[in-house]
Amino acid sequence: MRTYLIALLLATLSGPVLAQSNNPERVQRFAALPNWSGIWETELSAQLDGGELDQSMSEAMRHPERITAVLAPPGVLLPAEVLFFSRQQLIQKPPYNAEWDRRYESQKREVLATPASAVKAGTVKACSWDFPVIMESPTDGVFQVFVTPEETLLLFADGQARHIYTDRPHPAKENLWPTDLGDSVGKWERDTLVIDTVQRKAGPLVRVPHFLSPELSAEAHFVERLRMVSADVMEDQMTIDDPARLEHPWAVTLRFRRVKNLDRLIATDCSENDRFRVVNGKETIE
Amino acid sequence: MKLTHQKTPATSVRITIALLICASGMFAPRLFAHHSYAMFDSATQLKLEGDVREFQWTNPHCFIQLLAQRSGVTEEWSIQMDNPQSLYRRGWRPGSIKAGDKLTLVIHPTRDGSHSGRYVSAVGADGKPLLQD
Repeated sequence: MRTYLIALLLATLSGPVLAQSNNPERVQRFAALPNWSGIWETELSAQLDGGELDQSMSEAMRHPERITAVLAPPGVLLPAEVLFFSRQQLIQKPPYNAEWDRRYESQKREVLATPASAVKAGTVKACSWDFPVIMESPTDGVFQVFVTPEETLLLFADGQARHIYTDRPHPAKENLWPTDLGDSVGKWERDTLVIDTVQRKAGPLVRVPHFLSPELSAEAHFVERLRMVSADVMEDQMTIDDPARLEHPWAVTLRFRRVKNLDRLIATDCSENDRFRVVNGKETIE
Repeated sequence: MKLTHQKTPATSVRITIALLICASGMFAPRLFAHHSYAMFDSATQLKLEGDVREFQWTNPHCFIQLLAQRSGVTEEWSIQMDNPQSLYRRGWRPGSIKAGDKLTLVIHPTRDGSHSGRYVSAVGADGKPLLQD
């Protein structure tokens, strides 16, 4: 009898708590949010998948001398790869201050002077991308968006997730430390999600040895304005401020397209059956 | 098992870059999804005929394990494709190729001379081309 009474008391107490999770006020807030459901991909990924780049990439292979972009020591990437990756905005030279401009140009000369033979086999390899490049990921740049009143979640096919909390500020400074994706919070301005990101781990945006990549400090501050511009296109106006390295804020506009040839988010990863090997100093498949 | 790669004129076909660009999908639609494709000799196309031993529908790459008949010898070749998500988008399914299927494959071989390469195109026993990857 006593057990029954306790159970009854607990059930009575938990009732309102459970009901609170879907109270009318929250339902109303949820209903007011934009519907960004579906699967999205970065514009470059969409162009690649749709064959829009086939011609220019073929041209690059036919006329490698016309590819002037510098990404890696000559010969390390195929000309088509150089052309393709050089289309990323976040791999371009940022508006550096004088000191970092000098460093960048020096690194560029170094990359150009490095013979392909000096690049250790197997090092030109990447499995995932950090923020902010994850928002412009040219390969596997497929993600799903979940909008709730408390958080907007960007879930990427490789399993990475950007949690953008919309019900709280950043944690106190002493509770934060640099991570690959940084710490993001957001606020809604009508149908635009304004995302504020801090504490991205310092260093190159593309963490591949020998690559010429923009670099940011851990003090870099990112503001994004994410919104739908049409039924099938989303836009991310990103502004990067990093007073220690940039002369002025770096502004890029990224676009995402709705994926229509996927019925679900299919996971990608590097660990399941990675047969890429280096044998006797040469890259091969085993 | 790794076997020595010996190209024979009868079975390996070298084609110029100018000809290669006519082949759709030749430049690996998912470049650098995992590693650079500079490891494959994109200036060379190799034709392989044989039976599928296994179709590996796996990340980060799918593979066709082909028992190729070359100069009267059976050799096992590993043919790299894109990842399942990319292939799925182009119409491939885990059962698109089965063990025992007879295929004629065109690949870009790896530069190290091993029995492996990058998928370019394939034709089934019925003469119909398979999907691009």
